Amino acid sequence: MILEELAKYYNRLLENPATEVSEPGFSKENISFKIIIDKDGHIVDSSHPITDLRDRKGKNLVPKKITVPKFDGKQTSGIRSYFLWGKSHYIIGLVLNEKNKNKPFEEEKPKHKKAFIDLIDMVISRTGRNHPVFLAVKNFALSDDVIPILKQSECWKDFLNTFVVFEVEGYGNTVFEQDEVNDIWREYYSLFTLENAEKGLCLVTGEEAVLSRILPTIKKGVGGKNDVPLVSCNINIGESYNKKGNAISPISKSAAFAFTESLNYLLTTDKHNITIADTKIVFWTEKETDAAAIFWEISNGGEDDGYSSEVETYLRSVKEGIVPDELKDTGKIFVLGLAPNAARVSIRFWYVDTIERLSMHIGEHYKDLEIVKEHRDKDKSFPSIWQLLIETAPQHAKKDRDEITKSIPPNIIGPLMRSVLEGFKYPASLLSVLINRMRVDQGFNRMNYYRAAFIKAILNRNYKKELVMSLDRDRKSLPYCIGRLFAVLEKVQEESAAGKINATIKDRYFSSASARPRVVFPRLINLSQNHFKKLRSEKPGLAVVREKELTDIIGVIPSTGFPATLKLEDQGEFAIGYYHQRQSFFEKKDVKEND
Amino acid sequence: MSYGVKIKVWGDWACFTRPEMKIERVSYDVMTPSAARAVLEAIYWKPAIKWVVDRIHVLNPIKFDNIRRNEIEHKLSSTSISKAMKDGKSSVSIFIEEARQQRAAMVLRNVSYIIEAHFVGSGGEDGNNVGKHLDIFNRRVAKGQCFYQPYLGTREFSANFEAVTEIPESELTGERDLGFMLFDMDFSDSKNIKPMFFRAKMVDGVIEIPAPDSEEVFR
Repeated sequence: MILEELAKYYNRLLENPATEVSEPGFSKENISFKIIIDKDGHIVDSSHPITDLRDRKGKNLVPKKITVPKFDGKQTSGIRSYFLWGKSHYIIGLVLNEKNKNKPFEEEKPKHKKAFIDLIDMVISRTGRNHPVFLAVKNFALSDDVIPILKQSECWKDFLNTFVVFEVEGYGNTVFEQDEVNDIWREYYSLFTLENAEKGLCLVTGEEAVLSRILPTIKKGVGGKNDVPLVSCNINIGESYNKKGNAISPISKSAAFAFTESLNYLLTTDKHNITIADTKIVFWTEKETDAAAIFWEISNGGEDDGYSSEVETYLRSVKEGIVPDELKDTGKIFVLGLAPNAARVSIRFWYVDTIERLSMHIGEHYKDLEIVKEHRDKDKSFPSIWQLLIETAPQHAKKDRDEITKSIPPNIIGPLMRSVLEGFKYPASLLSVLINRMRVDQGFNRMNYYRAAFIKAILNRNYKKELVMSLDRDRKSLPYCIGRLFAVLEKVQEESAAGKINATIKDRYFSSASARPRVVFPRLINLSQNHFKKLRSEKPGLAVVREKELTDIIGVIPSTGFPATLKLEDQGEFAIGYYHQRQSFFEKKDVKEND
Repeated sequence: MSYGVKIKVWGDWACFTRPEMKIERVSYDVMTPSAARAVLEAIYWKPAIKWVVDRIHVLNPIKFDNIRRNEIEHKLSSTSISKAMKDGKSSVSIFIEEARQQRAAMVLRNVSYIIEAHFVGSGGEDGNNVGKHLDIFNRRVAKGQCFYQPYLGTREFSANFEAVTEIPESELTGERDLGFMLFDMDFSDSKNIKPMFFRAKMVDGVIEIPAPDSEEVFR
């Protein structure tokens, strides 16, 4: 189903003139250099034989993307030349051997050069067609005196081992701008395909077709550093019924090309993909809608990016359970999560549903997350998925977005996405990760708005705790009240010292108070007596208010005293009780200042 | 002539692996007919009969989960085994330290199906005695007897089974297109075993399985 939907999407992309996808036999590749030759194959400008096509983007030199003829599959360690372009092995038969990093040397590769020239001959003979640029490139490759000229160029060192194209004077900026050259290749490609053909049932389309043995590859680091195919059987443990390699899953060449191209398109197009840690998530819709773009913003927004107004209105209405009219009856949305694993691509999750149902689930998610804000202006009413996920990461203080994302625990992203999309319970391990973070982090990051929202959502959805948005004075649940108690004690300490403390009881006692209340709280209450004494002498009115709050909460503690330990979900409630109470202090302050 | 049976099969985990994602396993959304046949065969089978699956009822919502397991990366080669057989002392072993591969899998959680099937005789006298085979099967299901533990897709996910008289309504509603699914393997030519596919459609949790020789099954 996954492959089928991707293949269908490819057909839509091909029909849409606005999107650029390659057709079978071609591919967009990263080309760094170009050699300009004349019709006879001589280098035109001996002083600058190699033209650098790369753009400078910041610190890096980014190669140019050019559509070039390409066979399916990777260029493996065997010899397989590309047509009129390639690496220096094939073009001039020289490569930089870097096996010994201290002593790289230039190695001759005569076989590769021969393969390059042979391919040109083969295309001419099989199709019976010719073009002046073929002769030019062939002569260039055959001649022996090009290498010294090329060595003069300042790009020589970079030139070795990278992709190169040709420009023949008078025939466009690269040879591939000539329609006839592309057409000749197209003919050769289809002849070549039919020749090595094995026909069979394709499991993507259900039709008899030419099957592919080597599948085209996916770029953009989905398979780790190298390009890998989506469907691959590269260890023999996957063989069964004596079928080896890709024969275990018969897929036609056209279907394979279709789904690989559409996946490559999704991975390289803005607003269709998100990367969180090692997982790449792509999404697309059955028909043209804004849903994909909305989804991108919801998943990806950072602290400084606000949502666009469409997304804000969308979120506000789905939270109330209403799907906006323009998204009703608009078909399905598909979400696919991929991650690399040992030179293969592993699928983390696959979600397909109508846009309406997806919106309902997103609305439920945001309803669960609702909690009173810490910073009224800065905190977002609708945290993005990324903002929630980084609350599980230890590297919070680092400002660099990629660094923080790297430290998100790996098995959480997929399940969390699924819970949000499908409305199921949040992953079970999530609460323990968050509580752990809460125990370990120091300072203002310990219990911020996003973490509190996340914990509250998990408690409500998984444990049915029915926590509300802000302080609930009528809630009699013990962990909640203990959390409130802690907040009151901390406030008393702060007020008694007139705000000049470096480390409140929160910094010293928070984790132990949430884990072992019976041991810690008596000590805290003892400590608070000193604070109260000071407060009574300096601000007696305030002391009375705080004492009343204290007695109200302590009234809920049963005669057995504080519980010895708190379960995980109770520790979560403790945290929410603390957060609610603390925010209520700031609300009151605002009200008082307004009076 | 054919006689029908119904059994309920359920388990905590299931993985009906898609053939195109075999190494990094991804499960189909529902049970495949070949997995249903395997469950029936585990309970009762003889060369005289052949099970044919008619209908699969999906009772629970479809939920996936991601697991990662360390496995070995290759099988023992037949040459190493025949060598050991000949000289009696070569080692026949794979050490995990040298052959470790971590494989991720997307598997199903908390599955529950009701399989409706019938058997046909596969030629020969014994196959025609349907009443006998039917009785044996029902007795075995009632007692919980099986030749080997039935499993849901892969052996590590064991299945529980019980007899069912009335088929309950599924939690799933609406129509859902499940795409091309593996129907079964075609064993008619033992030298070239081929997969068969069909287009699966689930209506209110019920999947109608076409007959193996119908034109809905693609080979």
